[in-house]
Amino acid sequence: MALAVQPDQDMDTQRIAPRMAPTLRRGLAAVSLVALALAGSPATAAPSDASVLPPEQHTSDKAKRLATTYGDAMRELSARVYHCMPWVEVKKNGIGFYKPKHLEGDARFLSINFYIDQQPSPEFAAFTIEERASRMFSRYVGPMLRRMARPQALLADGSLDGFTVILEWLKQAATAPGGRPIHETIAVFVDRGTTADFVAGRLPSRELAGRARVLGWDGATALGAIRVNSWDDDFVSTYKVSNYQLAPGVSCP
Amino acid sequence: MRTDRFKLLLGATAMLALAGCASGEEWKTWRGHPTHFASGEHLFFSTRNAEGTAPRVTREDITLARDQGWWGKPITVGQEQILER
Repeated sequence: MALAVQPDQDMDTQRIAPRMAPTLRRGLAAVSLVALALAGSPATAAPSDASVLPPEQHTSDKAKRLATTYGDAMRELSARVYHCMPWVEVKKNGIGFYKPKHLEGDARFLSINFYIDQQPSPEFAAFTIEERASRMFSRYVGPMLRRMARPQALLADGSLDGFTVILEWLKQAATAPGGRPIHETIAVFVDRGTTADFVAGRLPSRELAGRARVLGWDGATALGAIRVNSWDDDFVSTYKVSNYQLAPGVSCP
Repeated sequence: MRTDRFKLLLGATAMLALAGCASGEEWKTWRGHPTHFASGEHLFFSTRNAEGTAPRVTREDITLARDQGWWGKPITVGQEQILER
């Protein structure tokens, strides 16, 4: 390998310097680019687009139209959750105008599906599945409906049938080397009229669960419809991750 | 004269190489703690947050910690069993 500068008695620094300048500039530029890449640019602060299902991947014209019309609202929802609820992770294609499988016809619900990153505690594990689901419902469903139904045009759009909130959390960590953790999941379906009543304050939180359909899963095992209770819970608006620093230009109400 | 300079350069290069390499003891420690500074991101987090100061946690730190703290593929329900596109 050749040395960058070979020592020579006849070295003419006046002649070498202009040739070295572009090399130095290129080197400095490369170092700067590497440093920027390693430090993380503002663009990397944005959530991955992978959390929003693109319009063309919806399978009906109705869903494609909804996804196209409210694409900005979906990306805004994704960004809000990403920055303001950093303890949850929206799944790939977790936001979209999906059709609930248990419904007939082309019913389209604005849906969000996320994993809640929390460690299982003995106290939480001691509850029944209905009690755990009630706590998760009260903690997340109301706040998510308020965020999802924020665009007035969306809530008034007759082609939207409702909202889905899918919540998943760790039930049990792997108990043996090579074992797999088990998650619990609830899927909550709320029709558009009920959501409109709720966000307008006409339906109290304690009555929301009674107007929703809630399906549960223990790991991959379907539990069917489960009965849950609901109440006001301000966890989402008050919980702060310790020492969490919001990305520049982002604010969370 | 040119040969002397070349020898000098070789010696300096060898010293730099030795200074940059871990000793046997250091490699033993490294092998015993394979997750220490497992990634460049962890290294940057650690150097950004010096001991004794309040750590600053960004959204990227949380995502990386979650990704790198992976304990195995969970047993759970797939979205396609709940929703259709």
